[in-house]
Amino acid sequence: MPERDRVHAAEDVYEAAHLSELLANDLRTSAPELRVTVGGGVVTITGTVTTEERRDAVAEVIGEAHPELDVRNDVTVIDLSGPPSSEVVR
Amino acid sequence: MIRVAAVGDLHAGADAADQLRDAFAHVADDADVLLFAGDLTRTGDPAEAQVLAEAVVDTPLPIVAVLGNHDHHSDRAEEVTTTFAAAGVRVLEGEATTLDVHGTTVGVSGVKGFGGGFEGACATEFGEPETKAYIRHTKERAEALERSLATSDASVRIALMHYSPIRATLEGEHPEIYPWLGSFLLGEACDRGGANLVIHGHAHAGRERGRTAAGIPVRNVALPVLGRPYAVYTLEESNEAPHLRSRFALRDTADASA
Repeated sequence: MPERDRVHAAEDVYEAAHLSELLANDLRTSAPELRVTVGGGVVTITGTVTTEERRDAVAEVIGEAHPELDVRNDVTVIDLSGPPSSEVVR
Repeated sequence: MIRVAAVGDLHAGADAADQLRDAFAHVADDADVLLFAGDLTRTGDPAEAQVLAEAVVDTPLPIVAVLGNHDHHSDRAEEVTTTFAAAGVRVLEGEATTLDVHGTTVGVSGVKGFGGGFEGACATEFGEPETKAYIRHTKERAEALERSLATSDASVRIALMHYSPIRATLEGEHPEIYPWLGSFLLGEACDRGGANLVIHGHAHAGRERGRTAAGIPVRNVALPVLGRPYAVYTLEESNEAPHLRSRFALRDTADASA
């Protein structure tokens, strides 16, 4: 891998890790379980939350910290209105 | 026959009040007991706990819970526990509660648990004070769980925790973070103390079903894993898996090594 590409890849890896920390500690998200990747100027976040407000907050927090990056918010909202699952445990 | 409703990682907050109230509105039609496997709040703020407490306060079922790492984040775990207790939710930490379900005694032993990793890839109580403290905490929690299970005389025993006792229900998570998701010491505690069912949460990207080394069914009920408000597990009283020898056992463990 060329030196320049290696530097960019390293920056992306470290940035993703720091953004995970941010999503954990910002009170609007408080979500260390979300997964963050950075590549090609795009931040991608995956995982689940329980409200639309929390999903929106993810993009808001990332966008404030790094307005120069595009945010791909793949976080999904869990539907709590569905029926429970059922299993006979043996 | 005992019907156990269980879910963890609800991460209650004011913005989820309506969803949580709807989610548990009919749980009494589905189950005999409701278990919460930790991470009941987002940041451990008692006001967040109050949201979930209000959602279940009128539920005509026994509700038993353990706290998770999120519930400790604000260093107000005692207030969180008190908030739940006021709504009738019994929060366990290293102890058991015994319920009467249609004439059958059901013991729930609860502990938060902690990390450290799994057999073959786990930390030990060695080196820096911080490392030793980390593993010592896990050992203490596991010992409390084993003691609680082993000294229970309930007909049906359930181990409830937040962190995972086995590797299998973590599959889907990055293996690098397994030591932060659970510990084999919790699984060993269940196998030595004896249980019909083990319930945990914490691993959002894990999978639901697994077994301890001795064969006890383990269910990861983290909300993102279930994708539903809760799971209902039906247990037969005769389901008990063989258990290993325990330092704390009151029961006959002669069949343990069979």
